[in-house]
Amino acid sequence: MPDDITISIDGVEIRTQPGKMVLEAAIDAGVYVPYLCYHSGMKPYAACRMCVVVAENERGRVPGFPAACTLAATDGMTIWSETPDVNELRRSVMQMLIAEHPNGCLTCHRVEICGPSDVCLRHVSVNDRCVTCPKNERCEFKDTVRYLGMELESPMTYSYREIPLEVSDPFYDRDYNLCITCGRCVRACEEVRGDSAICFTERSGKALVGTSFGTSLLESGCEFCGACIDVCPVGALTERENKWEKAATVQRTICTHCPVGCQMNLEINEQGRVIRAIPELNSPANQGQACYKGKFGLSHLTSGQRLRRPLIRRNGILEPATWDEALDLVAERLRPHQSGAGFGIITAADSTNEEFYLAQKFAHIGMGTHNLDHSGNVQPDLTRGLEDVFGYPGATNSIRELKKSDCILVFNSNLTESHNVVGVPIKQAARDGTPLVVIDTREVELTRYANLWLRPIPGAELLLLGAILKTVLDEGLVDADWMAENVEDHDTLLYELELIDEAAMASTGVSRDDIVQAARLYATANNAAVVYGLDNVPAAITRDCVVALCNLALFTRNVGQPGGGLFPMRQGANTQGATDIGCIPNRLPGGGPLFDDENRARVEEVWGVSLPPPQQSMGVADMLSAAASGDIRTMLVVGDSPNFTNGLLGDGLAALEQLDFLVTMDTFLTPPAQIADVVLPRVTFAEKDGTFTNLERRIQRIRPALSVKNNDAMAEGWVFAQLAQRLGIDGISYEDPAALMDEIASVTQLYGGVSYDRLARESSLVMQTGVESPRPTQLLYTSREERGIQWPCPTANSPTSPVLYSDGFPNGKAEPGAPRFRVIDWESEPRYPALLAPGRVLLQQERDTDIEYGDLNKIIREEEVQLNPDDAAGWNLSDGEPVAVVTATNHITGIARANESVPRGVVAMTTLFGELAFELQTSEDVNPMARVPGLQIEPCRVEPLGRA
Amino acid sequence: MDAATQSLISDAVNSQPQSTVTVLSSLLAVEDAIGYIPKEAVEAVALQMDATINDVWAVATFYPNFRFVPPTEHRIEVCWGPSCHVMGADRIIAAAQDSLSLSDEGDTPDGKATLRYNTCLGACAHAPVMAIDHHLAGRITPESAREKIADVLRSAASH
Amino acid sequence: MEVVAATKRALEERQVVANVSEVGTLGLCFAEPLMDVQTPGGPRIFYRNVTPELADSIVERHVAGGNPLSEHAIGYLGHRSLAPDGIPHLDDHPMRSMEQRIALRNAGNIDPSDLYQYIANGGYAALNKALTQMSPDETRQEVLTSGLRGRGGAAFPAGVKWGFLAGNPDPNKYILCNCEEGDPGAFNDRGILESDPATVVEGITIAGYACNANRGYIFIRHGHNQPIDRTRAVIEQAYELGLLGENILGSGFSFDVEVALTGDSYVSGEETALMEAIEGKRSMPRYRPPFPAQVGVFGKPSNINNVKTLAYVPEIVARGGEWFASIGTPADRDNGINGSSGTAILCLSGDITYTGLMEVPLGMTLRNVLFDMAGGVPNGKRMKLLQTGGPLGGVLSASDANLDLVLDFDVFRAAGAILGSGGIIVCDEDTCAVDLTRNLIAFCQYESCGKCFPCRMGMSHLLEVLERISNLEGTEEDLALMRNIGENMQAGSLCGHGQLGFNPVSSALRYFGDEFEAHILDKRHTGDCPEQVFSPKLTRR
Ligand SMILES: Nc1nc2c(c(=O)[nH]1)N[C@H]1C(S)=C(S)[C@@H](COP(=O)(O)OP(=O)(O)OC[C@H]3O[C@@H](n4cnc5c(=O)[nH]c(N)nc54)[C@H](O)[C@@H]3O)O[C@H]1N2
Ligand SMILES: Nc1nc2c(c(=O)[nH]1)N[C@H]1C(S)=C(S)[C@@H](COP(=O)(O)OP(=O)(O)OC[C@H]3O[C@@H](n4cnc5c(=O)[nH]c(N)nc54)[C@H](O)[C@@H]3O)O[C@H]1N2
Ligand SMILES: Cc1cc2nc3c(=O)[nH]c(=O)nc-3n(C[C@H](O)[C@H](O)[C@H](O)COP(=O)(O)O)c2cc1C
Ligand code: SF4
Ligand code: SF4
Ligand code: SF4
Ligand code: SF4
Ligand code: SF4
Ligand code: FES
Ligand code: FES
Ligand SMILES: [Mo]
Repeated sequence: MPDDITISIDGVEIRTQPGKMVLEAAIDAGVYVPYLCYHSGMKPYAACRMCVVVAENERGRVPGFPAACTLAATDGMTIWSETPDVNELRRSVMQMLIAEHPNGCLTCHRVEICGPSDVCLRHVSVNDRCVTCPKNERCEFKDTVRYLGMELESPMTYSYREIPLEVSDPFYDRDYNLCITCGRCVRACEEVRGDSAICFTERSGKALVGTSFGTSLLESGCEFCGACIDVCPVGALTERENKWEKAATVQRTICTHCPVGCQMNLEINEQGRVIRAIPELNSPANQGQACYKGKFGLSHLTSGQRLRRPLIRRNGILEPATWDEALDLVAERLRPHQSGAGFGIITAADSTNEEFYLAQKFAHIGMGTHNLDHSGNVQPDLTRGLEDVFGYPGATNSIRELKKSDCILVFNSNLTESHNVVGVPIKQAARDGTPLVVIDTREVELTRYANLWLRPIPGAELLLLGAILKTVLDEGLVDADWMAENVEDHDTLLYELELIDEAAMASTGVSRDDIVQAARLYATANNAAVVYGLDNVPAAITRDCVVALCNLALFTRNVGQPGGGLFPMRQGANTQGATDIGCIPNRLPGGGPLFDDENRARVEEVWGVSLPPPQQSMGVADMLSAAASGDIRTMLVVGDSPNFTNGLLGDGLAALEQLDFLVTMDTFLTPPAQIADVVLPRVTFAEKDGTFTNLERRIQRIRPALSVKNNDAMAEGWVFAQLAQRLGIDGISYEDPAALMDEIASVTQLYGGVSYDRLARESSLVMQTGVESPRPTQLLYTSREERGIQWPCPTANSPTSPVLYSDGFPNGKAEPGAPRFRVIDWESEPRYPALLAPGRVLLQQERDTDIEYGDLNKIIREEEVQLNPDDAAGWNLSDGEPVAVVTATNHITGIARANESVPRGVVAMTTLFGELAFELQTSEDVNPMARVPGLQIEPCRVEPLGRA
Repeated sequence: MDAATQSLISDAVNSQPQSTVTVLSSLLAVEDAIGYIPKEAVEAVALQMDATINDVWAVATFYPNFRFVPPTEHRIEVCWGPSCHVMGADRIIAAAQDSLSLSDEGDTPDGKATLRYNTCLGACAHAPVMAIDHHLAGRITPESAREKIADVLRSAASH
Repeated sequence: MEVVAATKRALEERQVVANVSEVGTLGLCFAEPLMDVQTPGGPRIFYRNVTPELADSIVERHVAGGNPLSEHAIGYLGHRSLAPDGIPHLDDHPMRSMEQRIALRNAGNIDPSDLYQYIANGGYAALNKALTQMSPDETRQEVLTSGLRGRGGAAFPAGVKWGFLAGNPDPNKYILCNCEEGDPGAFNDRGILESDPATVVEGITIAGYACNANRGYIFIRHGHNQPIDRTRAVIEQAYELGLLGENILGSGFSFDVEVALTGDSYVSGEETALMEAIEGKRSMPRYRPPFPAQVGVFGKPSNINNVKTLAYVPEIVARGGEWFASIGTPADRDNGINGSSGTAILCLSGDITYTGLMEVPLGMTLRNVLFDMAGGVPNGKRMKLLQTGGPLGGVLSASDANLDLVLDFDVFRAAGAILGSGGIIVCDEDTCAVDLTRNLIAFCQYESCGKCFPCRMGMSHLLEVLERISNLEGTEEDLALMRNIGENMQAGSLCGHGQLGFNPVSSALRYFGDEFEAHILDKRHTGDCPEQVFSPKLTRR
C-alpha cells in the first residue's frame, strides 16, 4: 500500500497505516507491548496505563509517557516500550492491582512449575492461588506480572473484596473479586454486541462492573453470547461448564449450529474432550463473535447418550451390531432400488460439501434416483427467487459489510436468535445511526433497535412490499438509466404495482406514513441491504416476497455494490453448500438443472459415466409426502433434524413411519432413529474434516478437533463410500477430502478454483504468541487468519468474490419478476379467531419480577397481552384485565393491554428471552441448541380469566 | 409502586425544561421530583432515552447524589471539604452522628432523617457548613449542630 | 430566605410600600446575610449578619421610621455627601478598598434575574459592538490582545484556545462554560452566576460569535439552585429580547444557550469529563487527542472556558484588549513568567478575619490580600499555612517569602502552588499540615472517577498511608512509598485529577516535611489533630 508508514518499536521496524494507534500497529505486527484494557476490535479506553511508552516523533520526544493504545502512529516515529522508567511505571500500577487481587501465586517464582496438587511452600490459601483459578492458563494479568518480573514482596497491604460470587445465571459465573475493572466486558457488550447488558457501577475505588440493581443477567438483557468472557483478561468471567479444566490442545474449526459459519477455536483437555469454544478474532464472518449456541452449545459432543455402535432392529428392538452387519443389511435393502424407484435420500443440513458431493453422486450414478435433498431445505424459496432474478442462489454480499450499509431492511427474520452473529454488524450499524427498518408482525429483538418497525397483518407481507415498491416509483426514487441498461423489461411488474390502490395499502395494516418512510429510508440510501427470512410468511407467497425484495433492490440499484445487496437467512449450517453441490432436487453438481441435456453431458464427461435418464426429482417435503402415500418405500436419512418434529415439514415423523425400510444416521437416538430399521452412529462436526460454505458463499475448512474414542461413529461420507463398494458403484471414495474438493472443483464452476492447498496458502500468518507476549484469550490461539474463499471462483487464479454482480449479471440483465401483490388470509378457525404473534422483549415497563436464586433461575413475571383496542372491545375485554391466550397447544395467562400499534386480529405477547435460556438450562435434551423454539405465529383466542 | 409516584416519575422524565435531554438530566429530574431513583425510574429513563437499564444504572451509581431507596423526612448534610475541615468539620460530623444515633452516614432506623457527608457545600467562607433540607447554615458549632438537628427531629415528630 | 420572608412580613404588617429584591453577593461573606436599604434620596445602607428579628427592627426604625441603625450597619454606598451619621462608606472597608471590579462590576448592584437592570448598567453594549463593528476574527483578536488567561486552573490563553475552535470548519460547534466548580474553597464561579449571570451569558455569546459556534452550554452542578435559576432566567429574557436565538440583533449571527446540569462529581469539571456529563453519561475523562476543538461534546468541535474567563469578555470587548492587558503583571519570559493580565477573583476562607469574595488586580502580593484587605488571622494567632488552587493545588507555608509572592499564575506555579480558580484557604497555627494533607487526599480519593488504574488505586493507597501517618502508625518507608505511588500517578494518570493529585502531598512535604517526620519518628501530633482520623472514602479495599 502506498500509504503505509514505518514506525520502530524497540528497534523493530513496523509498517502500518496512518491513523492506526501504536499499540494496534504493534499487535498487528506481532510485537508485544503490555496492555490490559485495550482489546482488538474495540475502541481504545486508555485506563490501565500498562501500554505506556516513550515516543519520539519528528518534533522530538512526546511529553510524558503516552499510552500506546491512544497514540496515533506517524511516519518515522520511534517507540521505546521497555525503558526502566516505563517498566517502573507499569510495576507501580501492577503493585496496586496485586494488592486488590488474590495474589499468592502471582509473585511466586515457582508459579511456572507449581501444580494444583502441589503443597504450597508459601502457605497461600487455596482461594488465593492461581493454580486453582479457572482462568489460570489464559490469564493475561498473571502473564503481565511475569513479564514485568514483579518482586516477591509487595509494600502494599492486600485485601480481599469479599464480593459474593454470581453463580445463578445460565452458562457462566462472575467472580468480581478477581475483576481489575479494565472495562473490556462492558465495552464488548455495548460497543461490539450492542446489548449493554452489563455496565460500570459506582466510581473511584468502588468502580466495578455489574447490572442494574444487581439483577440477574437473564433480566438485564444478556443474550449469553459470551463475548464478555472471551475478552476478560482474568478469571472474573468464566464459562461454568468445565470451569476448572485446562486446555491441552486447541483446534480451529467452524461452528455448525447455523449457516453464519463462525470460526471457533476449540479447547481440548488431556482426556481429549472439548471443554470450551473461543471464537476466532481474525475470522472474516464472525470477527471474534459467537452466540450462545456456538459458545456454549458443546455439551452434546461429549454426551454420554451418544450413539456408539450401529443398531439393527431385530424383533422390533434396536440391537447393537457391527458395521459390517449393518452396512451389509442396508446394501441388501438398497439393491432392489438401484433402478431408481421408491427410494430417496435425505442428508443433513450440516454435512460437509464433500459429503454432499458423495451423497448426490451415490444417488445419481449408483441408485439412479433424483430423490435427493437435505433436511434443512425447508424453505427453498429463500434463494429460488434470488436466483431467478439475479442469477445466483446465494447472498449477494458479505456479512461484515452490513456494518457499512447506509440502510438495513430486515424482513421476517428473527435473526438474532437464528443467525445471531449476522445481528452483530446490524446492531452496530444501528447504534452508529444507520437507519434500520424491520418488517415483522412479531416483536423480535431487532425491533428494539429499529428506526421503523412495520407490523403488517399476517399474510399481507407481499402486499406491503408491493406498496413500498410502488411508493419508491411514485416518489421518483428509481435509478432509471441503470435500470434501462441492466434490467429486463418490467412492464408487467409496473402494471401489477398500478393495481395497488389506497384501499389495498390500507389493508396491509401499516400506515401510509410508515410505508412512505420505509420506502424513502431504503431508496435514498447509497447502499442499502436487505436481510430476509420467510418466517411465518404463508407458503403461497414466499417466492413472490423474495422476488419483491429483489425488485426493490433492482429499482434502487442496491445490488452489485459493497454495503448493499440481499442476504437470505438460510436454515442450516451448510445448506448453501448443498445447493451449490447439487444435493437438492432437480439439480446436478454446480447447481445446473438436471433436466438440461447439455448440463447432464457436462457432468457425465467429468464422471466418465452416463447418467440414467432423468425422472421425477423430489425434495424433502415431497419425499415425506411420498413416503406417507407409499410411493417411496425405502429411505436413507442422515442427521438429527429438528425439522421432522417441529412442524416445518408437516408431520415428518409419521411419514417416515410408513416406510418399509428406514436407515438413519444420527449422533443420538433421535425421534427418526427410534423408528428406524437400521441406525448408524454419526460423528459430530468436531470429529471430521472437510469444508462448509456459509451463507455469504464463503468456503471454509472444518477440522477434526476430537479423536473418536470408545466409539464406532463414522461420517456419512464414509458410509456412502462403503455402501458404494458393496453395491458395486465406482468412483466414490471418502479417503481424501482434499481430493474430493478437487473433483468438486472440476465439476462445479463456482468452486473451480478452490482447493485445500489454496485455502491453506491464502491464510496469512498473523502473529505468534508466547510467554513473553500475553494475548487476550481470543488472540491466544490466533496464528493464522483463515479467510476462506467466496464463490464464484471459477479458476485457480480467480479472486474471492465478496460482492456479486459488481460487473453485471451473469445472464446479461436481471429479470425482475411480476408478482401479483395479494393478501393471503390465514385459515381462520372459529375456535381461534385471532393470530398470536409472540415477541421478544428485553425491557418491560410496570412489571413485577421475582427472581429466585438456587440451582436454577426461575423468573415469574407478568405477561402482557397486547390487543388492538377495537378487538379488545369486540371480545369484551378491558384494559388491565387478566386474560388467557389459548392456542391449539398452549395456554398462557397475562394482562390485557389495548395498544393501537397492534393490527386488528393480532394478539402480541411479550416473551422474555430469559425463558429461552431457562429452557436451555433445564432441558433434558442432549442438544437443546438445535431445538430452540422460533417465534411462530399461531392461531389463538383470548378469553377473560377468573371473571365471576 | 403507587400510581401517584409512577406518574411523578413520568412527568419528571417527560417535561424537562431544557432542550438537551439525557440519561443524567432525566435522573436528576426524577431525583428532584421524588428524592430517589427507584427501579421504575431506571426503567422509565431507559425507555425514554432508548438506553438499557444498565446504561442508566451506570450513570446513576456514578454520582453519589442519587439514592435508591425512598428518602427520609429530613436530609442533613455536613461538609467535610478542606475549608470546613480546617474550621472543625470533624466535630460537627461527630455531633451530628451523635444526635442522630448513627455511626456513619445513612438513614436513621426510624426513617426520620438522613445524614450525608458532602465534599463541599459551596459556602466555604461560612465554614464549617451544614445543610438541613437544602438550607445552608454556616459557622456551625457542635452545639448549634445538635440544636438544629433537634429542631428538625422535633418538627418531624410533630408531623 | 428566612430574612427575606421576615422583611416582607414586617413590611406588610406596617403597610409600608417598598420593593424587596434579592441581589447577588457583594463578596463580604463574613458579614452575610447582608441587607441593604435605600430610602428615596438616601444612600444604600448595608446591615451585617441580619437575623429575622433584626430585619424586623430595620423595617420598623429605618424603612418606616427613617432612622438608620448605625450599630448594625457595615457601610453605605452612594455619594459621600449623603453620608449618614456614624456609618462609614463601604468602599473604605478594607475588603473593598483595594478591589478593582471587572467581572464583579455588577455584583450586588443589580437584580441578577433582571436582564433590563443588566442592560441599564451597560450590559450588551459589548455584544452589540462585536456584532455591528467587528468581525469574528477581530473579536477574537481583541481577546488575544487582552492576554486573558483561563481562570479554570490551567491559565491557558483564552484567545489562543478560541483560535483552535475558530479554525474548525464544522458548521456545528459548541462553547461550553464550566461552572462545575467543585474546588472546595472556591465559590467565585457560582458567585458570579448568582449575582450577575448576564455577564456570562453575554460573554459566551461573544465567544460563540468569535469562534463561529452556534450553541452554548452553561454547565452547573445540580443543587446549586440560585445560580441555576438565575442563569436560566436571564437566558429566557435574552431570547425574548433577541439577544439569543436566531439572527441576534439582526446581525445574521445565531446562537443558542442552555443550562446543563451534572451530578455530584468533582471530575465533571475536567473538560472531557464535562463533555461526557453534558451527554448524560458517567463523567469519566476521555483520552486526548482528539482535543475538544476537534471532537468535543456530542462529537462536535467544542471550546471550554471557565465562568470567570467568560465573565471578563464583555468588558474586554467593550473597553479594548489593551485596557485589560494594562492591568496585572508583565511578562518576564527569561524567568518563565508569561504575564498575567486583569484581575484575580479570590475566595478567602478558613482562619481569616474577613472571609469572602474579592476581585483584585493581579500583581498584588498575598500579604496585601491577606493582611491589608482581609484583616489577617483572628484571635491573635499566627498564620501558618495557605492552601491555594483547590485540592489539586498545593499547600504553601505562610512564610515571609511566600507572603511576598505576587498574584501571578506562573509565580505561583514556581512556588509549588496553583493560583488556579482563586480559592485560598488560610490556616492558623493550630492546623496540622499532615492532617490537612490527609483531608485533601481523602477528597481526591472520594472524587476520583475510577477510570484509570494509577489514580483509582493510587489515591486509595495514598490515603491509606496518610491515615497511617496521621494515626501515628506510619513507618519511615511510608514516605518513599507515597512518593513512589504519587510520582507514578502523576506520570501515568489519564487526566489532571490523577496527574495533579499528588500536589498536596508533594507541596506539604516541601514546606512541612518536619511535621511528617514528627508523626512518623516522634509519634507526635503537630496541631490540634483529631484522635482518630475521619476520612470518608470510596473503596472496596
Ligand atoms: N461444571 C462444573 N461443575 C462443578 C465443578 C466444575 O469444575 N465444573 N467443580 C465442582 C467442585 S470442585 C466444587 S467445589 C463445586 C462448587 O460448587 P458450589 O459449592 O456450588 O460453589 P460455588 O459455585 O463456588 O458457590 C456457591 C454459593 O456460595 C455463595 N457464597 C460465597 N461465599 C459465601 C459465604 O461466605 N457465605 C455464604 N452463605 N455463601 C457464600 C456463592 O455466592 C454461591 O451462590 O462445583 C462442582 N461442580
Ligand atoms: N477463583 C476461584 N478459584 C477457585 C474456586 C473458585 O470458586 N473461584 N474454587 C476452588 C475449588 S472448590 C477447587 S476444587 C479448585 C479446582 O482446581 P483444580 O484442582 O485446578 O481443578 P481441575 O481444573 O479440575 O484440575 C486441574 C488439572 O488436573 C488435570 N487432571 C484431571 N484429572 C487428572 C488425573 O487423573 N491425573 C492428573 N495428573 N491430572 C488430572 C486436569 O486436566 C487439569 O489440568 O479450584 C479452586 N479455585
Ligand atoms: C479534575 C479537574 C477538575 C476541574 N474542575 C474545574 C472546575 O470545576 N471548573 C473549571 O472551570 N475548570 C475545571 N478544571 C479545568 C478544566 O478542565 C478546563 O481546563 C477549564 O474549564 C478551561 O477553562 P479556562 O481555559 O477558561 O480556564 C478542572 C480540571 C481538572 C483536571
Ligand atoms: S485471574 Fe489470573 S491472576 Fe487472578 S487468580 Fe486467576 S490466574 Fe491468578
Ligand atoms: S454474554 Fe454477551 S450479552 Fe451477555 S453480558 Fe456478556 S457480552 Fe453482554
Ligand atoms: S470482569 Fe473482566 S473484563 Fe470485565 S472489567 Fe472485570 S476484569 Fe475487565
Ligand atoms: S451465529 Fe451460528 S455459526 Fe455463529 S456461533 Fe452462533 S450458531 Fe454458531
Ligand atoms: S486520573 Fe483519576 S479522575 Fe482522571 S481519569 Fe484517571 S481515575 Fe479518573
Ligand atoms: S491504557 Fe493502553 S491498553 Fe490500557
Ligand atoms: S469546604 Fe465546606 S462548604 Fe466548601
Ligand atoms: Mo472443589
